[in-house]
Amino acid sequence: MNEMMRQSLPDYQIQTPDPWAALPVNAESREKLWSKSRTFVGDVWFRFRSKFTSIFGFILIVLVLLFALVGPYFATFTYSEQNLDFVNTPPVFRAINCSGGYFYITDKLKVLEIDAQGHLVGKVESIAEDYEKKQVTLSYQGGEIIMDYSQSPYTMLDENGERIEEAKHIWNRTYLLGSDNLGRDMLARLMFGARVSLLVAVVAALTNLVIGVLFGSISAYCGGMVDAVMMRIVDVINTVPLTLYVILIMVVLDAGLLSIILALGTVYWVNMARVVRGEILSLKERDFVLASRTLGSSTATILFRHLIPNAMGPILVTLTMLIPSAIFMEAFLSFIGLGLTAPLASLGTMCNDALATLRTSPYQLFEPALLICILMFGFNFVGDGLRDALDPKLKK
Amino acid sequence: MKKLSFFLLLLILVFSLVLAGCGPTESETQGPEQSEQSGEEAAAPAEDGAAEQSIIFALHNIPNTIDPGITSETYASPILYNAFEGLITYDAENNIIPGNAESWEISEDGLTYTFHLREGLKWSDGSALTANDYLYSWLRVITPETGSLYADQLLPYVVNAQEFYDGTVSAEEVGIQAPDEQTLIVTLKNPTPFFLGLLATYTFYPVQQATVEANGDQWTLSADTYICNGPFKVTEINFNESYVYEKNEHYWNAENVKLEHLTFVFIADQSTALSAFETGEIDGFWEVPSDDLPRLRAESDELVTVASFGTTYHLMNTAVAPFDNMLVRKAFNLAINRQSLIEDVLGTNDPPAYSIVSPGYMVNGVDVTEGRSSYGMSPTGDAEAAQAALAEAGYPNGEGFPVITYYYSTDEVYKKTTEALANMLETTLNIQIELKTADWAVFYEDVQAGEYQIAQMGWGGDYLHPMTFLPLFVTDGVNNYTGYSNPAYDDLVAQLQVCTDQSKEPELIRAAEDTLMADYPFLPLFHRSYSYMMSKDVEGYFRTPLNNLYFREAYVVE
Repeated sequence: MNEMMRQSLPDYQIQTPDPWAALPVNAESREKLWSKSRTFVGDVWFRFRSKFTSIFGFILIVLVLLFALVGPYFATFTYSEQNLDFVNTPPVFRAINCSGGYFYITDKLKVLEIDAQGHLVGKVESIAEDYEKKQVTLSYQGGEIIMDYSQSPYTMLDENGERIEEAKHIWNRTYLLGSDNLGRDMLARLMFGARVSLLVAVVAALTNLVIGVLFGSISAYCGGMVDAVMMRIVDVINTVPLTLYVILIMVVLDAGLLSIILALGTVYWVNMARVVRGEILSLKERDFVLASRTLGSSTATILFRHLIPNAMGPILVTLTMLIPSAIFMEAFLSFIGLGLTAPLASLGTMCNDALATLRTSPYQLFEPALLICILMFGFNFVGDGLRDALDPKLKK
Repeated sequence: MKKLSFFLLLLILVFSLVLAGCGPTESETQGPEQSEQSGEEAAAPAEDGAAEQSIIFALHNIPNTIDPGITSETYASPILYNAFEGLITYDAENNIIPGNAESWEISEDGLTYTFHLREGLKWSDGSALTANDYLYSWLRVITPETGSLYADQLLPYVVNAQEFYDGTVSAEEVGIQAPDEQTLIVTLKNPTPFFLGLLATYTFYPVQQATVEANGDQWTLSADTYICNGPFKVTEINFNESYVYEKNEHYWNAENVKLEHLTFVFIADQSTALSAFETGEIDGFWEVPSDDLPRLRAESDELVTVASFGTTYHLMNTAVAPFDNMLVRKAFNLAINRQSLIEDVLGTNDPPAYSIVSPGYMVNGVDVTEGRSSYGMSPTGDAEAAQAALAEAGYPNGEGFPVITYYYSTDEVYKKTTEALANMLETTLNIQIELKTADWAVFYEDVQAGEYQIAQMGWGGDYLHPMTFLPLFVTDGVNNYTGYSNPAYDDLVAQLQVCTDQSKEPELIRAAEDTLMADYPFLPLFHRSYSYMMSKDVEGYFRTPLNNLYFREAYVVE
């Protein structure tokens, strides 16, 4: 885009009484830009925001960012705080009112006392268990209450020994999204997990930008033998499966976030390098590059001042598309056990931990899976919107 | 990559939608209905005539080999225990009873065992089975070329076995002799009171020389060449799918085998196996998913939980700081809330452990572990005493205590256990613990090399005698990974090793354990129990605390 054209000219007012009369023809009207002139960034932003899904995706990402970065300051628990009395408590209790208190019966047949608002009070101590009748006697406020698990749903017995069939659904106020299999707050762990996922996103973005763009552009601009060798290196890196690569890295380093970041950092830029190379290959044949070279610009100047800025469109698009796949890669690696060390949590490890309790506490898998979905949607929508906004051929 | 992630994303979406569909109320009401249904379905075929004598049992892991002389895998055991029979076997009450051997004599000094085989023993192909087959099979185990993984079941005990393995003596000099077709004489280096029990292990099963020599290591791969001598014979081997058994009419006690067909199918995922069980596709399976245990305990009368002769404990490396200090080890032992670990984290009913020997070995009708001290530990842990011990060790309130690395092998249950324990120790003792994990192979190598501070471990008994546990902590023992060394303890274990008078054993065992636990060289957690599901219609089968599952007396009722 020519700098000249960007300068806005004074508005030209049509002031002839007859709307159908011919316009005065003069030098000014010939050069007049009739549509409103915008800067490059403004133009992209205009087209980006005119698409609903892009804005929606952008808002999703901002919300997840707030959730992950600001959320922990408002949380009651830390991500590693365990309370073994309250393992696997769901977000919504099926509470039974008995002897003046509310009780929730866990999947491990323990009885938890909750208050009317849904705060967990404590575990009710059991005194005796009758295996024949399938009943447990518990001590509560000096008296005794009986839990009956002879038939489902498990419930408490009232004073006459009758099953209390009535149950009230109360939201869990202590652990808003429930607790996991070690009694840790799911909400706090989700916040922490989202942090890890976003950190991976940032690392992936940085390595893509720095290594991928530089590697690709140098390879393309130099061409010839240099190009051939550099691209074969990319091919070699691309043929080693990332999973194998992470395992190899873990032999040297210990398992953990560092290994994953290192693995992603060292190999995750190859796609970007290819995209940039393709773009620069066509750009470097253009006249403005020839002009710059004729004027004696150095290779670095040509690369950084002319070629890379002109390839920014495809770079940004590839970036937003690669970020979700990096997040997913981390989730996948953690999921198969190559990721973080406990008790650190990422969305992937949370999914993995939840598999064992899938039949009894499905919410433990559902919540991190949902957050991964939201993140993926967000980045994919933004990437989609950016691609359209940056593509001059789609300009309306 | 993009395509893959999109596919996975789709999968997760579909998955989460499915999950969103089943709220807690729905699954609660589904439970009993399902199990009633399965009961009806399972009973249905029986109604049109007498019950079919056929059992399908699901296993979750495919063994590498089912060669009894070579394997050491637990996964192979049900396949082997029902296809073969050794000199002795166990009955439902864990008593040693005659198997292929009709009777035996043990010499005064406890060194020479003379076995008299039954008359007319036959292989499943109808050929005669003699003492020479046993001689061949046992020598095969201690021949290095066989590559037996369990050769150490024989090597330390039998005269010249190790020398034969090393190639310094000939086969004739090994302490296994077959003077005639019905007699087998075994000479031991030391009186080994548990040697008879050892003989029930599959390593001591006979294999047929003809088929092994004709087919080499392929003999276990096809039903035609898999010649056995037990209550059942193999009729079909479907790789990665199933082993199909039929009653072996050549078994010496065939008239008392009621079951006609027995099938072991492989179902890798335990949740799938549970579903298959609930719909009546299979009659039983083991390794019940632990998170389903409480539900099944409440709703199903087909869940069986039996004590297993094993102890789960964690190791403390007594050779490195700070665990070279007994008081630190004591503090760790006292700080742990074992009851919470067992009930809340693992969801089992296992008894908490305060020492190494698992209950189960009886002398004169009394369990040797009965009345054993808890060595200052309590089920729920004693925070004050633990803090006091740590203060006495020079770390009041955990001050100055180094950051500890807790090592475990990658596995969901181990992870859960280790995370919970680390948190208990951190909060009670005010110290810092880092977790570290590695694949079992790497982990085990590191532990054997002593490159750890605390590490997860456990031991399942090989034979029903405390001597399967006690050598774990003798100085420089092959399985002593803690670097622990105490001459007094070594001496007591050595005495037990040669003790032929069973009535003296309880006293020695107690003394050994007391000596051991005075030093707290490890972190006992719980004695194992084992859960499995078996249809109500199946009776007569039994399982020993060593996890041997015998179907030879099983039958199906209406």
